[in-house]
Amino acid sequence: MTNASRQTIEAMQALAGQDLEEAGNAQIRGEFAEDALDPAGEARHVAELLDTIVAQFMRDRASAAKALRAATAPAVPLQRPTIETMRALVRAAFDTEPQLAAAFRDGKAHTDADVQSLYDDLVALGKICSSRP
Amino acid sequence: MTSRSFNLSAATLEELSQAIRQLTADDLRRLKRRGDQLAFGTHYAGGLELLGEAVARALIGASGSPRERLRGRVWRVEVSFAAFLMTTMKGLSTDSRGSLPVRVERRMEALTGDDGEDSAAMRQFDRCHASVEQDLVEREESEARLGRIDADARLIEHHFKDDTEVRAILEGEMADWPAWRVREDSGMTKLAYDTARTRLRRGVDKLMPGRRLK
Repeated sequence: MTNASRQTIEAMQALAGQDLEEAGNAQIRGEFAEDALDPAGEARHVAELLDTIVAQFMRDRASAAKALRAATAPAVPLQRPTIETMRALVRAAFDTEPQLAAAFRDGKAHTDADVQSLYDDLVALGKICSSRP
Repeated sequence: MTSRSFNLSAATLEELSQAIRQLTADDLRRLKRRGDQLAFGTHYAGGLELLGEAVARALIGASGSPRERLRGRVWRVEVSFAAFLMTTMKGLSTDSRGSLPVRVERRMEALTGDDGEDSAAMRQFDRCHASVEQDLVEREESEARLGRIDADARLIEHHFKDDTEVRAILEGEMADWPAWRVREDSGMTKLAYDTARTRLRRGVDKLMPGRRLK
């Protein structure tokens, strides 16, 4: 049964895939509406999901880099610039790469401690050069 | 950090993030629909979950060590990003439905060194053994996988049981017939064939999401 089932699914996927490829964008938009789905809202929903995945990935990467640094760095305090300089460097990094802002900004104002943590994360990710004043 | 040392045309993480943001609303709707089609017979709940996994694999493919990159999918910048995601979803779909070569490939990935290199000996199927525990887990997973494939195939067959034209094009595709032969054999005009294929696609759209819950 399963081989036949697999063939049924794969045949459906091949045929439906060809048909989707040949369908125009306007037709697909119309079909969403026909299914009582808001075409713009559906696209926005997918875009938001992808943003969430990218943001989570960036955060996980920063955490992993931080953990690696904690495990391997010598036990001396990290030399950081002043809080104003750190704020400026973080803002510059966000301006240069908007996806970093999406991943780390989290829609809130940052306290000094947040800025310090963000600075460390962005240094770990190589987005800010720690040797800068 | 996101250098091009692994492959000259492989996208950096920045390029990939930018490509994700630049997907148009039309791309996103199309990707969701294709994801829904490809989720049939897999462990993915629907197209969005499959698309999310494709993006996650692309992110892994654009970063990390060569070993990490093996788990990911590398997007080469000269390829259309939407087309790359379609292909990645198809690969994940096939992978989830499972087959012996896929399982062997996965074990080989697990056995490769940090440099991503394997040995010639590992390429022989009979040297790629799993433990007894792993065999049992795989057997359980395999039964669940087969159950999903059968359930989804039955759903498709049931949905189109009264549509002789859709059944004819499905059977023709399974027999690897070209479209003209299907039309000739079932006496369909080109228009009737194209309409039946769209009816198949739209029928499948309506079975998602939650196709196994009905």
